Amino acid sequence: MKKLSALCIILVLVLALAACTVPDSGTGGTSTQPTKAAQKDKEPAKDKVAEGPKKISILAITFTGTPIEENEPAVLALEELTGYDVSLQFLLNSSYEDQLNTRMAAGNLPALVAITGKTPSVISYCRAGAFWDITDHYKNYPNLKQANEIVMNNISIDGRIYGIYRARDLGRNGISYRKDWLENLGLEEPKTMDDLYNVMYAFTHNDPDQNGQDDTYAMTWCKWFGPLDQIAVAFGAPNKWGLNDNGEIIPYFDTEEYMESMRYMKKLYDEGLINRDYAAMETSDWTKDFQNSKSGVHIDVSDQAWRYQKKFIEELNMGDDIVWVMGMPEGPKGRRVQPTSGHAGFVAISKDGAPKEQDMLDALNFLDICNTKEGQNLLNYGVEGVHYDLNEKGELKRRTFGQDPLEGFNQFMTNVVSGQLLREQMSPVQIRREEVLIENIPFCIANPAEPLTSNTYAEKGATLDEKISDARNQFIAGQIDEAGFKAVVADWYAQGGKAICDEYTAAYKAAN
Amino acid sequence: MNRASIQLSKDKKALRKAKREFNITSIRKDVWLYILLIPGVLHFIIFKYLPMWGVLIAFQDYNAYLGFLGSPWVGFKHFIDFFSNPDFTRLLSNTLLISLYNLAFGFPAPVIMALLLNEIRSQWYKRSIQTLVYIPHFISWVIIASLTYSLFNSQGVVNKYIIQMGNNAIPFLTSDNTFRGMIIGQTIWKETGFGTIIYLAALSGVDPQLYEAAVIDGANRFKQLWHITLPSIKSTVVTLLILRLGHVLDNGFDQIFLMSNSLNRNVSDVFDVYVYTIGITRGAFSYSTAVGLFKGIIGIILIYSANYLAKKAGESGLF
Amino acid sequence: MKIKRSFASIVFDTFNYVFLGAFACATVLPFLYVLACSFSSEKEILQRPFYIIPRHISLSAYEYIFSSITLPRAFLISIFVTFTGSAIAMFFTLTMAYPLSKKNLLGRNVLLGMVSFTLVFGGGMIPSFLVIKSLGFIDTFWALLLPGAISTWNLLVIKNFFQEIPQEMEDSARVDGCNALGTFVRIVLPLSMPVIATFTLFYAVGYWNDYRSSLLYTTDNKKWPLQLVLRQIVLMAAGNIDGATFDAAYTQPPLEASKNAVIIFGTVPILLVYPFLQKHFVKGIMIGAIKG
Repeated sequence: MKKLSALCIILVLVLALAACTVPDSGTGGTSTQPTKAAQKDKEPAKDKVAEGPKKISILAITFTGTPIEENEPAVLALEELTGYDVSLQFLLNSSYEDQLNTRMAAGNLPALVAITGKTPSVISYCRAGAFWDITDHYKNYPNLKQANEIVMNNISIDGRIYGIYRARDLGRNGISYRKDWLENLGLEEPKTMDDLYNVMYAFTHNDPDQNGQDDTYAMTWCKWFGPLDQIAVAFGAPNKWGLNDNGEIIPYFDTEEYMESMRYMKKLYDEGLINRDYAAMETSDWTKDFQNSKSGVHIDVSDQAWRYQKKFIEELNMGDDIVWVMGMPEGPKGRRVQPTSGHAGFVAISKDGAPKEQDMLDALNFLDICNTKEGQNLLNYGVEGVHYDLNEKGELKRRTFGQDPLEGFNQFMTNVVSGQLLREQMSPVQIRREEVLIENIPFCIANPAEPLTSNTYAEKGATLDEKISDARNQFIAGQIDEAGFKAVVADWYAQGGKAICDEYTAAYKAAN
Repeated sequence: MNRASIQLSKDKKALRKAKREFNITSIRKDVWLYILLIPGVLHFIIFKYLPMWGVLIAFQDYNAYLGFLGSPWVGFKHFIDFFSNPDFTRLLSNTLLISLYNLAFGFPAPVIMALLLNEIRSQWYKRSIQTLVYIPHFISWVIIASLTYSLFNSQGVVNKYIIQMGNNAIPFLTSDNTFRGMIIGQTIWKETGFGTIIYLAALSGVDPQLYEAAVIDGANRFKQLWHITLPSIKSTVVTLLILRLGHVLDNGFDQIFLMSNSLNRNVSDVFDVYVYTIGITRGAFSYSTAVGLFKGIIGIILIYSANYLAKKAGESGLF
Repeated sequence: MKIKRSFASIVFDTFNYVFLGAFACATVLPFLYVLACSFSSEKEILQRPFYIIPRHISLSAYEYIFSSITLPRAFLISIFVTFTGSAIAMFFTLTMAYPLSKKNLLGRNVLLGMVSFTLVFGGGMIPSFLVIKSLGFIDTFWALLLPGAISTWNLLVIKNFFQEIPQEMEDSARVDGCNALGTFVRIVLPLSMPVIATFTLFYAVGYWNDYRSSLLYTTDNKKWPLQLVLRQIVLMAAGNIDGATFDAAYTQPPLEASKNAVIIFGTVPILLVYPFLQKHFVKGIMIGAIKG
């Protein structure tokens, strides 16, 4: 009987909860009060211009499943700054495609939608007219027009622009490494790929943590092939796609430099400098060995260095001088760094959520305000006194929370204007990382196919890519030899690669 | 002659009348049964049959924005693509092999475990074991894959023992030869405990008097097993086996996807994972719907055949 | 009179106890590891490869869970959906299985064919979504409760169990004047307690673990159930399709211990249901029914 009444109480509580959460009616788009001010092009709104607040609905992305809620101070501050009534919805990062597709089918997308990249479904939606073509409109806004032309071109589809890009630093790639190990071994930061090999050899064989045991190796890889591609570029291969002597687009794995990078990596693998089963390791496990002082080199984005260092300070109590960061060293063809594409997709304006042209212009205005100094800092950092504090120098220190109260808030951030963000109080490794970001830029190798689309690539690109990636791992592990790899490349051409190259080449020639 | 044929037609009429009466009375007699059916049948129509129109998407290049009416029709393009894929035979053999291994080892495992549990005298021990072994069913594949990696990688615990024994390390995670074994092993570990529940339910319906009578007749434990216990779960086993056959082309996407990598791709590439990869690149519902349709047709054929065979063997079958 | 057990019998029993014990250990150890990690500090998780008892107990992971209303709210939603869903599902399934178990029911074969067909054919994500949408169930609890209310698999197995019930039981009820409904409620259901317990458990597990429904049908993140959030947390480091590391500068991953704590939070409640139902697996339900 007791169990039954306990159950009843729980049921009542939960039914009350259910009763409070009536089907959400907040899926509407923007609506404007018909004031004269609303018809003109906007200045970044310092004062409120409309009679009642305009509404904007946003679809952002959550990584933790526990995103910011609408009554949070940051959202209220955003509403006050922009003069819009903001309603937020979230897609889960782990099921982004599925959820985006069902929302598209339902026809209830919010006005602003965070798009993660030019996937084939996104391309087909843009071509079908699901999102507004803003090519001719965004330049009318003072902040939006400062967007970088090259990155805008990178997110273009068939030469048209369907959203404002979500800015990411170009020179974001870098190598995190154990500074203390380097010092223990009396070595210097490597300047060339050969130096890097020597350092990795020493990390593996010369007991860099000086504990008398042979329990370390150099570098951890996982299923994610990012590091391998970075090394390929360092050796002189193009960044995913390059131009051959005839001005045709070729894939990076069809070059001698790529083969050389593979030989280098195979050497690393054969000599035990890399974890043997990397091809089977999930990305979620990638950082464990470095954290446990089993490995000392990590090639990825340079922010990883600070994340490692933070864990060494906070959880492992090992001090603050453990991890350092550098850009990719020189290869045989000079210093070549693989950049990011400068964006992580774009924020698009859906026709479902913004059916009239005026709605689209309102949405652009909202994005424009988000790119003012106040807007950027709000989306990036939150509210002063709630989420961060400023010291005497005006530097920012974030507060720590259990669950991040701002989670997901920055996913519709575009940040197309640079230089307006408050400086954070940074540790030495973070300061060094900022330097590396800038140092990388002159050496970045662009991907000429980035702004282009190939229909065959949309159809089969991923499965074809997987075969090459598999072949590379098989070569490194010794399951196939160079001839075997070249055979896979030949297959790649035969099963659709040739069509992809032809399409890209044609598009490239047309655009240049 | 005439009288005989008149009598014959009279009989026929009487028979037909009896049949009609039978129909009306049987419906009236069973009216409550029909009423009981109503909620379920409605549910089937609304939630299972109504969405089936979606199978038509397999014949389009469906675009969620344009919707069903606005998306272009492409006929059998996706099916042709699917079958003419150079990897098709490899996908098919990988998919079938894993399913058959699962059937051969994974299917009997819960039956055997239920039978073993049934033999435990101590009720306390029996219930504890029952409760513990069903736990892995609730652990998601993501965690299992991560644990598998840390235990079975080249520098992991298992290989450490193997090396200590004087052998070479076994590449559990990155070899064609070990892949199926790992998959089946994981499945048995995860699902056996939970699978025993249904067999234990069947076993609990057996009248203990049957056992008492058998003991008096001098039957030893093995004979009791053979003549009483096994027959009592036979129909459950047959039912579940038939149900299982309908899904011989399904492999459980999560597990395979997490365990597959570049070095075992030859044996780990199965339909479900392949469709996922294609589906992501193209955003193609159409393609995955087409493959689903293909799988469904095979499944139906298998279920109907298995059901027919079961009935021939004297079992009640599914329908 | 004590029955003498043969030597073979004793050997078998010993082997049985040991084997089952070992298997139970193998199945429960990983779970105990996750449990231990949920009570550990980050340092310990990183440094010790596998353990069951943490050296230093830390509650910070559970503090993380309760530091905002999101996870407890998701938990309550899951509890609600599981309870209500199982009840609804058992109602629909039992009422449909019983008539289908009567071999002389007119139209039975047609219905069974229709049912079995759904074993292998389904509508797919988008069509199901559109049906739910046209019913107006998007973002409501009905979308989480109703579509899964009948599992064809469960239905067919229950039907087969009903078929096993001896006809004499039902006949004796008929003789006493019960109609079909009365027979069903007063005779058949009580006799089927192990089956009802089993399938209530199956449905409860299904509802508890279901993330697919809310992934598709729930747009308001305040209504997400626990498994959906849990899945995201566990998968988080996987990033997007390309495998690129997620925007780390822009997202703060939770601690390892928190990940483990959320897993425990999301798993233990449903684990507790089975022992609760176990008492219905009692032999000898049928004794006395025929005699009486």
